[in-house]
Amino acid sequence: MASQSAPSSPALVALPVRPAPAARSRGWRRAGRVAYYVVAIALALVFLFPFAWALIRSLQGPAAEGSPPTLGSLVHLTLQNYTGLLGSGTTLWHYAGNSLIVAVGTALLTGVVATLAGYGLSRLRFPGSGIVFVVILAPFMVPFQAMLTALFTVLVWLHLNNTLPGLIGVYATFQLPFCVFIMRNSFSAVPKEIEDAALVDGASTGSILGRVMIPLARPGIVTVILFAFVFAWNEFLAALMLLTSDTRMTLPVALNNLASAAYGRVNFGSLDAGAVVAMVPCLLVFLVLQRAYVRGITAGAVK
Amino acid sequence: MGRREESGQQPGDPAAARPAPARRWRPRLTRPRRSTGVLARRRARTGMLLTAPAFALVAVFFLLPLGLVVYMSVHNWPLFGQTRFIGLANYREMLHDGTFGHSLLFTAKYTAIVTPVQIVLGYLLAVMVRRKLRGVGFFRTVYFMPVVVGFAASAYAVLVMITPGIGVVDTILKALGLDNGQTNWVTSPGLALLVVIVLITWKTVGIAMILFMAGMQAVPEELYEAAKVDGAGWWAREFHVTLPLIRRTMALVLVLTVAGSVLAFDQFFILTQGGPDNATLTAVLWIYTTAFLQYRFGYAAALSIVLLILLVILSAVQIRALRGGGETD
Amino acid sequence: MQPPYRRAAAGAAAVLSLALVAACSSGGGSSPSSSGKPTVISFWVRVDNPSVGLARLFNQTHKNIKVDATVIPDAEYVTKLGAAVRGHTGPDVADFDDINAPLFAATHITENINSEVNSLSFKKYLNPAELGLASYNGQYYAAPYINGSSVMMYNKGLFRQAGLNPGSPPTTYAQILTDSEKITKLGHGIDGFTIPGACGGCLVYTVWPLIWASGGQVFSAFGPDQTTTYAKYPQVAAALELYRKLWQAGTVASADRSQNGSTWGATFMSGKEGILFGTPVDIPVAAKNGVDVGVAPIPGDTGGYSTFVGGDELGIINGTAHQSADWTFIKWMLGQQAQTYVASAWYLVPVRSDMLTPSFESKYPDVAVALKASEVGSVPKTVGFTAATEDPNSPWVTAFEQVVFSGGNPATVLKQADSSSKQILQQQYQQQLGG
Repeated sequence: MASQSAPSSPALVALPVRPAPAARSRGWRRAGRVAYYVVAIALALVFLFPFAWALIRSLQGPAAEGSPPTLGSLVHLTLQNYTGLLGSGTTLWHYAGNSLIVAVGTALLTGVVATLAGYGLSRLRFPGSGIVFVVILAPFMVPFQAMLTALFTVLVWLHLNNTLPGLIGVYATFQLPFCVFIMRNSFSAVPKEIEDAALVDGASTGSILGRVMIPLARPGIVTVILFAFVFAWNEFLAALMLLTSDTRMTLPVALNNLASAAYGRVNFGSLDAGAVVAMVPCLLVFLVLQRAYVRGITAGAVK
Repeated sequence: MGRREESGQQPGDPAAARPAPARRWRPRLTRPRRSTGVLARRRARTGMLLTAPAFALVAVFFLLPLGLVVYMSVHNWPLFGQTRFIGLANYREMLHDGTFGHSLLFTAKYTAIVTPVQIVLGYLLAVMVRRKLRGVGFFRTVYFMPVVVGFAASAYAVLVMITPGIGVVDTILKALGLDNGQTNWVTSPGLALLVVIVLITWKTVGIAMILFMAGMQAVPEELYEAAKVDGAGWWAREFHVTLPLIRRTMALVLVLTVAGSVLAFDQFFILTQGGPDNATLTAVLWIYTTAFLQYRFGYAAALSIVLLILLVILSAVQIRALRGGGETD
Repeated sequence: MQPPYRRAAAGAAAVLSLALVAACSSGGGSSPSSSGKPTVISFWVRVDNPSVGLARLFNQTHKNIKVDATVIPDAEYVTKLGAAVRGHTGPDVADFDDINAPLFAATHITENINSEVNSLSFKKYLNPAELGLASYNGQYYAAPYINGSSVMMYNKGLFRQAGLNPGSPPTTYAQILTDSEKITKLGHGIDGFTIPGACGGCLVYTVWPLIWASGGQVFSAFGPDQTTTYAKYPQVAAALELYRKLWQAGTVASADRSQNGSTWGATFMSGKEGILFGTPVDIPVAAKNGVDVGVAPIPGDTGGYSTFVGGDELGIINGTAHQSADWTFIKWMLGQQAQTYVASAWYLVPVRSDMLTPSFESKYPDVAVALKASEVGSVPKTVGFTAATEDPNSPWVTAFEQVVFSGGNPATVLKQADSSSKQILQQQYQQQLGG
């Protein structure tokens, strides 16, 4: 089968043809694998370094801020930044709860709306669908900071200011460009034959979508949900500007307030500890979703 | 690259792996089908219904505020109190605004540098983690981790790391004998730009990696096998198999990266504050200054509208240029 | 046929009423007081100050008024307040940076409380500089609440080690220079002086007292023709030259050049730095790290002293429905109990000079120094403060950077700064007040 595919694929016609190399010796292949791991691990270390550093600093006292790092300072670790964070009353859990509501709400809303729209724009073309796509992409092209006061005013008109649903609506809207783009690409990658076969069988759009398209586009959906969740969980400026009462505030705002001192100073221990704490749920979500993602990929969507 | 020849075949098309059937005619799928007929019209209506929720959200939470922004841009709009209609005066002022022009140039320079870095690195990482080797899940997680951490926290962490005399970067450089450990990364525009680029790449390359992975998924393994049999090396395989077939994904990543860079704000706000003396001032940072420090919301609105128009044009060009695979995008 | 529909209708009604309840409970703000229920007033506060603690104390002792405090970060405070007031969803009372008082008064974000302020029995003891900021066209639109005056702090231990008398801090520019140099000679990464080099707000807070103490001025009178007077008064150039000498003598850490405020004072608080101009709030932190802190007012060129009267003011926000409850709260915040709390719990300075009793001085000697200095302190009154001095790329910060770190000629640099500042100030006046 492999050899039969060669001539029918136009892309491969242009390949520079070399005489096949001598049989790859096992040693050579192992060397390649070692090189792969060396590079991958080196990159992993570079990526992990800021985390490790922030983690260490979050376990150091305030005296460490004003002095260069020494091996000695690495030995004196303290949990005071964390107890300071979590000991600031149970309200930190309350803020985390608000953030959870907003993040899950945004992920679900974006996931559903983007999937539907992605399918509509990819396979069910209608007059004007190009313009609709551009309009849906537009929120991505505008500086968010400049829209905030106008957004605030609109939310007041809709009586949605200082509400979590209002914030979810805003977050979902500003994630839609990215997520609709992904879903549209995902659906477009599914071969028409599969869909056509289902249509010929008389399946309704709903069941085509539910039983055929979505399973095949699973990595896309997982990506959309993941990114929407992470964005909503970490977003700071809109939450600050669009929410007012303390009871509705989200975690990033609360952590920012805890890490800010008067006169523009930053309490770095608090900041680092807060960052470590806030990162955990996102990583958990990523690890869980990653399994679904990989399953979607290795399921060999197409084959 | 043979776009025309590829019409009729989409990425991952199993037809590519099967011998071509006897029939000659294949449905032309290069344009949206405007065929009449009940089925087509019903499908078009379903398409509208499916797209409606997204459009509704965008209309309420984006178009409506955007309309207000346009309205504000033709007014003198102070912090509180009387607003005054001034026509296009804000736009006229923008044309003479040296700081804005300067910030646009810097933003363009920044985008031109950072975009290829992110795309190439994201692509390479995707290539690395799409193999089924042991531990690849760990690497994938590690490369994606920076994406989930809050931006402010990571930027401040970098800020402390590069503080002269105190930060770990200078300490290491001094220990290696590369400099005296007092380099001030932030007061030199060149070094500051380097730091920002490293930070933003570290923070966002995981996104490009995941997106490329999703796109590469659609490339059937058979093509790679065939290429290997033909004796194609790794680079040739990527260039001739993967790249053409992930055009749509490339468009997505490109639009994303460019838009994100044109709208760059947080990293500069925290690390350099646009300094020294506006040398690293991006367009959005200037808009932030006019809105949050000068309280001139009408003028900020006008600048934002102009930036939006620029970006829409830029994105449209990119999407058009990367149209392919048989379906118009 | 009927029962399923009836059930569905009942279900729909239940869901609808739940939704209505949820909708009604959203949208914060205050509720009108009915018999027995306390009046709830919403209170916006700045980060890291006594307001949240004081609101809690107030609630404990006042059963008919409940204060609901929300913390808002400084960088977004003014914009958020403006947007909220425009949308009629602003708070009832706000605690804000005192340099914003003229802007809020002139744009009517804060309400006229002239008769209320004048009715205070201790009005004549309120800090004159902060009162000046709160007045507009002869009427008061805010009340001084916290006095955040800047002082000079110095590390007595390092003074002793350097052979200086810990009991006699520098009182002239020359002494600042020589003392800093001697401390720097101690080595081991110790710096004599510190400069928040890229932080406009920190710089005005610490440099302008030097100028005022020497008899100079930085801003002209409040009004549409207001400008800065950096070039007009030689004291400005003299202060900048002092800083340049300190920088060139190596008494300042090289990291200070890019100090944007986020780690301002960290080296002093960990005992590695000799002299810090700043806020007394740092003292307990430094003391916890074993630093023996001495406090003195910021001196002038050849003597004298002054301070930058920063701090907070309280205002009743336009659109409130509870004027009398709001004023009851504000009046309490200016009372003896609250003002003592400001000093005892936060090491911040009270706004009332009548609190400067001998017992106060003995209990809070460091705060007392700041309080005494604030009687002759100044603070610029303008609506363009943020744009002209706090913006990291403002004329002030640029001028400072150019003269102190880049060795620019003060005469030309300051003249340029004046003309840029004048442009900004005029624009701000026209924008905010012009209408």
